[in-house]
Formats: sequence, structure tokens, C-alpha cells
Amino acid sequence: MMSRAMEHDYIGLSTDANDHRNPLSKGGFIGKDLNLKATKLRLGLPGSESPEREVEAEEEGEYPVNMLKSLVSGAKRGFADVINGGSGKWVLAGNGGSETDLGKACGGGGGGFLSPRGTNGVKPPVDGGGCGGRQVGLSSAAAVKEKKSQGSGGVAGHGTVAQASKGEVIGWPPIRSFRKNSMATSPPKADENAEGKMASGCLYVKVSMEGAPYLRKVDLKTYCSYIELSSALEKMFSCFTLGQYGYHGVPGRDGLSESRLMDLFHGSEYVLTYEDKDGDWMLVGDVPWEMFTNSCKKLRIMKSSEAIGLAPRAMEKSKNRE
Amino acid sequence: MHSKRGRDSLFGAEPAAKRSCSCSFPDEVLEKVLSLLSCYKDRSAASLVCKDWYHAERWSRTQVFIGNCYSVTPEIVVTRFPKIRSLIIKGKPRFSDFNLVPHDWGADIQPWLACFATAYPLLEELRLKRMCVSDESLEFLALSFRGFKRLSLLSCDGFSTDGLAAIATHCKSLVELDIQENGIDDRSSCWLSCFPESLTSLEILNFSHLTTEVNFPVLERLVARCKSLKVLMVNKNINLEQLQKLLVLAPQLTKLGTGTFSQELNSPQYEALESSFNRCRNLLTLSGLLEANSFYLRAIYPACKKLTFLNLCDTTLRSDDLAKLLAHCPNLRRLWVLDTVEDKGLEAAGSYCPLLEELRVFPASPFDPDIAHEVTESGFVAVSYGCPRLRYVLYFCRQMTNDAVATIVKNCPDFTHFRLCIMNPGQPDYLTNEPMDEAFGAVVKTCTKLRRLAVSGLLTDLTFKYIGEYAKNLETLSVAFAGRSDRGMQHVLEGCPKLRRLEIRDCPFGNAALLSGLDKYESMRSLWMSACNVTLDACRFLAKKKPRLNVEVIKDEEDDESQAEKVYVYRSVAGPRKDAPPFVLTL
Repeated sequence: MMSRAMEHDYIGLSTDANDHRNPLSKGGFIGKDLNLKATKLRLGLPGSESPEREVEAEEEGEYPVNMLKSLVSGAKRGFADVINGGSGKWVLAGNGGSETDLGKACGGGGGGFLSPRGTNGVKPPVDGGGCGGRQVGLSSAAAVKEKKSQGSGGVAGHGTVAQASKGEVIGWPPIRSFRKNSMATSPPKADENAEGKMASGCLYVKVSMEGAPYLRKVDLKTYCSYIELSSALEKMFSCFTLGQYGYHGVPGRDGLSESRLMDLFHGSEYVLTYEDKDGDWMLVGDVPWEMFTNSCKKLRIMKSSEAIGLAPRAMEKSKNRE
Repeated sequence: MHSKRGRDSLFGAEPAAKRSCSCSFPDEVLEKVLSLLSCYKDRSAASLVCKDWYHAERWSRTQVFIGNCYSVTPEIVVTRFPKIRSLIIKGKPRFSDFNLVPHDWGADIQPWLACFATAYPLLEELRLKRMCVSDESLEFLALSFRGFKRLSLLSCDGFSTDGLAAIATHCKSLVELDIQENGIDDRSSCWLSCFPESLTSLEILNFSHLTTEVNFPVLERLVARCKSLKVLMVNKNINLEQLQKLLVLAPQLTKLGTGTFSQELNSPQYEALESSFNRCRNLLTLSGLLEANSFYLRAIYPACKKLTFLNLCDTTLRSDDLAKLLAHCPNLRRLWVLDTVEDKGLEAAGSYCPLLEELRVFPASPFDPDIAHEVTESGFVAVSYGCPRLRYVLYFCRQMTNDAVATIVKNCPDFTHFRLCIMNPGQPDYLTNEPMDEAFGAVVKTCTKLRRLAVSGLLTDLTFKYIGEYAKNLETLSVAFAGRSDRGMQHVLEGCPKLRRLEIRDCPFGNAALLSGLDKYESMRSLWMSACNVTLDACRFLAKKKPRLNVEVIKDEEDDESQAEKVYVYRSVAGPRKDAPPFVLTL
């Protein structure tokens, strides 16, 4: 039982700074002063209590900050304690029958979850039965976020309730399933490999960075020039860069934006590169903006040392295109 | 017309002394007077006055609204109302829109049609929401009602474009074909060609959510010959050049759905587009614009002066494009957008659209929190400052504060519909880390006209205490991932005198909460509780105590035997369902 539960490394709040479930990660970024350790929940045997979660029952409406970190996922769990042996189920990422396994798995291991509050202020009994499949459900949904989804895309299956994919809680957010399928910008769930998702009016590409624990996505269509893109990326990834950008968005003509971008990263440890349609990695800034947005599939902020040798190829390639 | 005696004999003769009604109008006059009542709530009220009024009302009623198809049988409806021309029927519980109801749950329209075919041969209009509609049913409909005029389908499933072909082929007097978002099997576009050349009566044609290619010449001819066409919503396979041609044929349109609004146009083509929009002087509603870019959007501006409804929820417009567009829409009352417009776009709405009454902001990427551009509480606050007449809002966001909501309702106290969806379940006020209780407290305290409320974020029982205490006009309440104990739900059931629909998911409400509404559910249309803590026994108890309620539990194979994972309770004069599939337990 324990071994199965241990498969799911982080449960509830993750240390993933981009975890939107963490109430303190505003818009995806954890402030540097956040005590990540406090948010990390550990699985314990029934009866064990993790010291961070020692909390006193409070009146309605009063919450010490500490408690809230676990309360967020606890809010999903906070009521689980009233469910006695319920196999409350949140349908998980589609890994076939594994949802029920998870549900059952947590039955033993879940006792370590101390819900901060029980009903009517009474501390919940800490026992194995108190865990609903729900709590591990949502948390291991975070764990399976990394895995490929089965991509049912939320379409109602025949005769059964649809399986959520990619760490979703089923039916949440409450978007009409028909609308979800017809929505122009909904990313194709079945296709993890679709890096640049070309959906009407929208061009999302993943942006990864050397050494960053998570990646971001940007919509290239929202930028008109390299300057806009680089300043947006600078903001997004500033917490990870050690080099200082000396350049702060002096507006310039489009024609010069390419070389300005080189300046932007010049002198810092990092350069911005992209993977184009052919799968080649090029330095960003070599080609006109429109050509770039048409061919860019992925962005990567690389260490300068790794990017040496890219530039000449990029120049040659664009010359060959003309 | 119909003598009193004749009608009374349906119910047995009544001695004159027992008649409490003192009106001495002849039936004909009473019927004529009551026939002027259009609102079904008024009619229901009138029918309760006395037997005479009841009969006069039922003989004069031409439209029936059935909010829950299982609350009544077709036979009861046709017996009571002999002269219906128009029906609005809603089927599945609302959470079926979010995949919480299994596919074959029910709400089949066929039994209704079968009954109506004999009782209402002159039926003209059918508007269905969340019903199961098959192609055979659509064909049956088209063949059974010679004068059928108006069909509207929203959130229905079970049919394909073949069914539409049957409608187009056989409904010779068709006035409206309104296919909104549905689970339709989009096989081919040949249905469009099925409209006979003789059909000229079409006034409303909406196929914006179909995905198949369109036979443009066929559409063009159809639009050309239907001179009364007022509403045309095309799908994404109509390009700008084609749209321009359609506009030239139908400058009288009041509602337009533009399709993709994308194409490479040369100068003359662009000018033609601009001039055809210029001629559309009557546009009230605009939607589509799926791939509109800044440049071509300008062509629309001349047509926007009278716009009251702008539906941009299928297009990823950026804030500056939206601002430029809104600057030309001073009369806007309703705005639907995606959150790609960001707070800045909403600020523009606050600046340019002071008459705005309804705002809906949908998430472009609801399942992908990595996306950087979204709306926050600031956008909502900005709109509230600029648009004091706001009364309907549906707002999806990832962060909110109690203060922001308090400010919003202070600026806009006239909310009738307040639906806030903080997309992260159980998320507190992101600045103070407190629950969002005070936000919704402010809403119910300030907005006395509130009829519909959807709550979200981290909520304790206090929210529900506020709701029960202050929301005296509340009719619909949607709750998810909220509350701490049974007391929460009890507060609502003990307060809220006008509650009609209560839908709850993933909350810690158990049997005590469920049963505290024992005496309330008959005054409500329905209750939905899923992923709460209700047991089968409690449901059985409720069913036993209240025989006029249908208590249904939807079972999943993996469920614990004793738990009632999904409970649907609704009042009904039809008795328990006879068509329940095996996974629905009717208790």
C-alpha cells in the first residue's frame, strides 16, 4: 500500500512554483520569500502528523496564513474527513483503470493527511479510512500532469462519464463541453507533441529555460516585435537569471529589433533560441518578425556557451530561404 | 366558444354555490383578456385564481415552458393545454453541460413529439435545451407538423446534420433554424442544399457552430430569396469575400455571425467589404470574428453604431483591438469576450460602453494555467466603475479579492445574475489569504434584486449564512468546492424563500444537510448534489417522506454501495421516471 502511494511524489501542494493551486503563487510565480518547504506535504502513516500542519481549530473566517497553504488543497480535502470511507472520486488523468487504483491506494496512505479542520471545528480522526479518493485524486492529478494525457478532451463518452485529462478535475472549470470542443483556442488535448498550437488567432509556444523548474507558454500573436517578446520573457523568467539585462525597452524601428535583441542578451549568460519548423535550433532575432512567428515552434533560453555556433547556421539558413 | 358546462364536465360538475369566483365575464371575454398575457409566470398565477380563470387561461395559452421535462408528462400537458403552438423544453440537469451526467441519461424528445403529433398538429415552434434529439426525431418532427416554423437547439445531443437535412427538406414554412452549441455529429453540409427553391420564409438561420464546409452558391441563393432574413450566423468556412457577398444580399440583417472573418483581401475587395458593412444599418448583434485581425476589423466599425450585443467569445481578440472596436459601440448592452482581452480590454469596455448591462468573460485556456495573459480582479473593477447599469456578469478568473468584489457591487448594486468562477477550486483572496466569504456577503447584502448566484473560491459556511440571510430573491444557486459543514447548505435551505434551483458539487454537505430541505424541495424545481457526502439511505428516506418528489441517484460502477455520488431531486407530477437507464436509481 505504501509503495503504491509513494509513487505519487508530491501530493496536494507541489513545490512547482507554477502550481496555480498554491494560493500564494500569483499568476504562476512564487514569491522568492515563500517557504516552499511549508507547502510540501509529505505522506505519512496513519497517525503521524506533520509538524507544519499543527493547527488549532479556529472560528469561521479566521485563517492563519500557514494553515492556508495546506488549506487550499485541504479545502478540497477539508470535507473529505467527514466522508467515512467514501470512495469519493475525482476522475483523473486518463491512465486507464489507474483512477480506481489511486483511490484505493490512498485509502491506506491517506491517513497521513491531516485536514486542518474537521466538521464544526473538531479535529478529524486521523485514520486511514478518512481519506477520500478525492484528495489523492486531485494531488496525483498534479503528479500525472507530466504524463501524456489520454486526451479525451472532455467529450462525453458514450454510456460513461467522461474522463478528465491532464490533471483536470472533471467538469471544472464549468465550461460547456460542447463549447470546449468548438472553442477556437482550446489546445488539442490528445496531442502532446503539438508544440506550436496554431489555433485561430493564437500561437502558443512553450518557453523553457536552462535550469528553470518549469516552463511557460506565450502567445506569439500578442507581440509585434522582438522587443516586446524579449521584454515579456525577461519579466517571466527574471527570477531565474543571474545576468543582468542592461537594456530596457527603448522603442526602435522594427528593422533594428533583431540586432537590439542580440544586445539584450549580450553580456548575459543567456541567449534566446527557438526551434523552427524543420527542427533546427536558431538564434532568435535573425529573421524578420513575421517569418519568425511563422516558423517558431518552441522557444528556449539557453546558456550562451551552448548557443555558440548557432548564429552562422541561422544566417545561412535564412539566406538559403531567400 | 366553449361552454362552461362542457369544460367543467372534464372535472365533474360543480354546484354553483361552491364557485368562489365572482367574475361574471363570459368565457370568450375572459379568454381574450388572458390571451394577452404572454409571460408564463403571469399565466400560472392567473390560472390559480379560480376554476373559471384556470380554464380560460388553459384554453387561451399558446406557449408552454417546461423547465424540467420529467416534472410532467406529455399527456398531462396536452390534456391541460389544448391549443399550444410553441414549446420550450429543458431536459438534463445543468451540470450535464460539464460532463457530470452520463451520456444516456435520458431527456429524449421523441415521446413528446409522438404525443404532440396527435394533440398539436398545428405546432409551430420548439425550443430545446439539454434534450436528447435523434435524427429520427427531427425527421418525425418535420413530417408531423405541416406548418412547423421555428426550431432552436441548445446543448442538445444525439443528432447529426442528417436530421437538419430532414428539417430543411420537409418544413415548407420554416422561419427559424437556430443550431447553437450542441453535440451534433457534423457529417456534411448537404443539409443546406435541402432547402427547396420555393422556401422564402427563413428569417433566422444560425449554423455558426457547425464545422463542415459550406456549399456557398447554395447559401447565397438561399439568402437572396429569403427577403425577410434578419439573423444570419455562418460558420468558420465562410471567408471574407463570401461574407461580403452575403451582406450585399441582406443589408437588413439585425444579427450577424461572421464566421472566421479572415482572408487575404486586395484593396478593391476590402473596400467592397467596408461598403457592405456600411450598408448594414440595423445590426444589433455581432458575433463570430473567429480569426479577425486588426486591419480587417476596421471594416466593421460603420455597422456598430446600433450594436447592443457583441459576442466575441469565439475569438482571441487582444486588448487594443477590442478597445478600438468598442470605441465604435456606444450603445452596447451585452458583451461576451475571452480573457485574452485582459484587464486592459475590460477597461476599454468601462470607458466606451456606459450602457453595458451584461458582461461575460470566458477563459481561453481554462485547463492550462501556464498561459500568462488573463483577466484579474482589476478588469472587473474597471468595468464596474464605467458601467453602473451592470446586472448580469459571468466572470472566469484566476484571482480575486474580497475588496474588489465589494467595490464592484458598490458600483453596480443592480446585479440580478452574479456568476463568479475563480478557476482554482478553493482559492482564497490572493492578497489577504482569507476566504472569499465577505465577497459574496457583499454581493447578497448589496444586490437585493439578485436572482442567480454562482460562488467559487475558498468559502466557509459563513458565505451560506450570508446567502440564506440576505438573498431574498435568489432563485438559482450554484456551489462548488465550498463550505465546511452541513450548516452551510442548511443556511441556504432555511433562508432563500424563492430558491428554485440548487446545484452543488464537491462540498462537505451530508445527509443532515440534504434532509434539512425536506419541506423545501417541493417548492423548488430541482436539487443537484454530486460528490458530496450523501448516503443512499438518506435519499431513500427523502423519497419515502416526499412522494411528490423524484429522488434519483446516478450510480457509477466504482462507487461505494452506500454512497449516493450524484443525487438529483426534483418535483414532479409525473411520478418516477419510466425510462430511467440502469445507472439511474429512482427511489
